[in-house]
Amino acid sequence: MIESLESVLRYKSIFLSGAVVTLMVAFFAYLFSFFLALTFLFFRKRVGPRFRKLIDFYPQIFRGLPELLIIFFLFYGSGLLLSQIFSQELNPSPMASGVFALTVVYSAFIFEVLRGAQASLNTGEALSAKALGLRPLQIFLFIEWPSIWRVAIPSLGNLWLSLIKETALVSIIGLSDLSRAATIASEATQMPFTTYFVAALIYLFITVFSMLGQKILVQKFHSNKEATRV
Amino acid sequence: MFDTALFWVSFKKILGAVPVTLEITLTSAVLGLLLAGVFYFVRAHFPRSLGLIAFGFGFFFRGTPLLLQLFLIYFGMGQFSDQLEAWHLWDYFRDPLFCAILTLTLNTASYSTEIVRSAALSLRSADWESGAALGLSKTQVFYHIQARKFLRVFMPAYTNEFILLLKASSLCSTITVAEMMDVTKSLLSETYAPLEVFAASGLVYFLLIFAVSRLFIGGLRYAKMTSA
Repeated sequence: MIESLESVLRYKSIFLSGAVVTLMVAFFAYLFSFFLALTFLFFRKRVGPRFRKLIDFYPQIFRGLPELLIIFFLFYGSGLLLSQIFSQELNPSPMASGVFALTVVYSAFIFEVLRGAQASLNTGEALSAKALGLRPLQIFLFIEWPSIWRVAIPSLGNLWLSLIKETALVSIIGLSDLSRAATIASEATQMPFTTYFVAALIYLFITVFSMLGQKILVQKFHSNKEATRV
Repeated sequence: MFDTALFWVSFKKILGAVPVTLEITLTSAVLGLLLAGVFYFVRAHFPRSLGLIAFGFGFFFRGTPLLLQLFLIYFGMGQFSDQLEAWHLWDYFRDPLFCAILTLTLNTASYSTEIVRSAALSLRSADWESGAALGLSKTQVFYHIQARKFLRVFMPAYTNEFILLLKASSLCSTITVAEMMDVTKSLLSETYAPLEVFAASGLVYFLLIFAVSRLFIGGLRYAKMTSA
């Protein structure tokens, strides 16, 4: 076992660059989903009922479909679309379509969390802000958002944890992330178990590290310590 | 632009793979639940060292991607083929379906253990005493009070976990199990019509998940176990 570990660790540069790609995909997908979800949340209360129903339907679709299906669809679908528009063979990079697909899925999840947090707010605050003459964007950013954020932090952290694991799916459409690195290294070392186990430990390391960060954020911003234990 | 005939052909073909997806999901769900019960029992009632092992096992499966776990078991076990052959186990680990069910079982068991744990927290030993004071037998307290209290917390969270498991079964296509996503992928490479094939596949998945969640919610309502 020790010898097999040594031969796996000879490929540590592949693992390292794979881990960087995994973190990058997760980071950008989370960033984009977060702002997309925020946009939905802002407009949800400020549009007509028909449009609001459409916005609320968005997370329902993505909860009912496997992430793998959405990743495949957006990868092959956007390739087809690009080829038709520019009438030549065009394929999106796995990185771009991976981030895009994860953004589509996770914006739905983050939107659900934020909507739940918004529902728990005291509506009087927003109304008094309106009476004081604040504009909609000001009310959202300075009055509603701080309270939403405080309620939503633990769930937002959990979504980040599951997003890191979900990025492994992007390796199926050819992105050289940590999972892909493990596959490549396992073919070279001929020791698939040890190789995949090392990759799993790296994921576990990232997860534990993120959990620590989540804990610090919760302690800093989550005023209600009782609700921390969700 | 949208080939309706191709859509329906794909729809029927993917519908034909629903039993395989359900087989994987249901088998892993049942075995996973049993294992979750064992894990919880070990963590709650066994010496701390054994409990820590059970916790570490669950933590590993909750902290790593399912895809990697599938590869670890399906491809990884090849590293030990000699020993497994000596134990007459190699034929099992060579079978993708066996590996898929094993992985999903261990994965869902790890998540379910946490659900069992949180539901068990709602039980109190005072239930037995107050039940006895009201003249209920031990069996009655168990069936009418404890089981209901447990299921009231357990079932909503488990419904979620079951749907996640159903969606996760699509990953088994990566180790060549002929379930819905595998059929979708082979249809795609035959026709190269992503729009129609994925629309069909999405519809089947959506209907399946919708039906399952209705079934769970309906069952909960029937047993009067929803708070709403």
